[in-house]
Amino acid sequence: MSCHDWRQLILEADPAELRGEKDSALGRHLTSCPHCRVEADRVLAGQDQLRDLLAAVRPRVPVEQALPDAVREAARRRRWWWWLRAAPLAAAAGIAGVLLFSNGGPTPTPVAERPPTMPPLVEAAPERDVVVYQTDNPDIVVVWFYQSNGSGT
Amino acid sequence: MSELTRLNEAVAPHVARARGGDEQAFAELVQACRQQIYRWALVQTGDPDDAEDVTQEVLVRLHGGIRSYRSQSRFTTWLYQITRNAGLEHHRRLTRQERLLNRTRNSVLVLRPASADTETVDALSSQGVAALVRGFLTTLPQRQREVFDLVDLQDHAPSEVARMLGLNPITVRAHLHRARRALRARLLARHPELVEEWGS
Repeated sequence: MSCHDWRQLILEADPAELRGEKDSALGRHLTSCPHCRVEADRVLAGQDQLRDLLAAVRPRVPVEQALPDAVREAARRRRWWWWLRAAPLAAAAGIAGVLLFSNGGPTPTPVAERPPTMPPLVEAAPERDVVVYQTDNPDIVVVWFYQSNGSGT
Repeated sequence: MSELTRLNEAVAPHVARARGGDEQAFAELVQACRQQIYRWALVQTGDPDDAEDVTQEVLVRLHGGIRSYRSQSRFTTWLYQITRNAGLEHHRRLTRQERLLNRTRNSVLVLRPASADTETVDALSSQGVAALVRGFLTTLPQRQREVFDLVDLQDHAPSEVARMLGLNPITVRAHLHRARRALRARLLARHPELVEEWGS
């Protein structure tokens, strides 16, 4: 293999292989070829710098500001979710109310009608009372007039 | 030990308490994880402002969803899924034109870390690295950026990244090789015989 071929492998190799921490044909070549070693070192240096850079990046907003904002927003979303979950129930209650009252309200319970009062068939004279007895025979009715003080006539 | 393994161990006690509704533990959890969330969001979106928005959205979702974390996967894996979903939703909201404008305008902001670490700043002032970062964030496809960051820069095993991204491990390796080739070709661009078509 030419150095050009080895350098193609350098482009995809595991960093451990480039550092010589893994035994491989590429690793062995790197120990014997100073030109490829330079390329491998350049690759490793670039990756190390990228690693250091990404390890150093920080959000610009300080945590003292970001944390309370996040907690407030989380609480707001919980309230919103609570309303969202309660909404179907409220809507169902509202629809039921509309349906109920759009027909003139609840139907009143019917009150049992009293039979009309019949005028008395027999009236006692003044100072007297009357008792009417119904017998077993529908053709015979006993009418008893008596004085209001309790003595019969 | 990888960065994320360290982070998992560091946040484990905060996670347990935050799940029980301890607001102080949640604050400590956010303190520990926020930079990592921002880094993932930056790699995913390729834009610092978008990454800021996604990070904030993740904190909101984390506050609402920490009780649903069941310890069946590593916390960072679960957190990555939340970040990824938030990033994808954010991406859908933006029009393509807006994204391009933002990228062009803000790509230099990535080179301004919040820490005043002189050594880091000196390292970042190199034009070569600036070009590398711009290339990484703006030219590589999103999936390749994510895979390269998680495997080569954050030392995750490809099989674990496959689980995090819901991909076949073979697909992860294919993305990884393409990303390496594209980035390294950029690095070695001073050697014309090595230059590959950028982004191929």
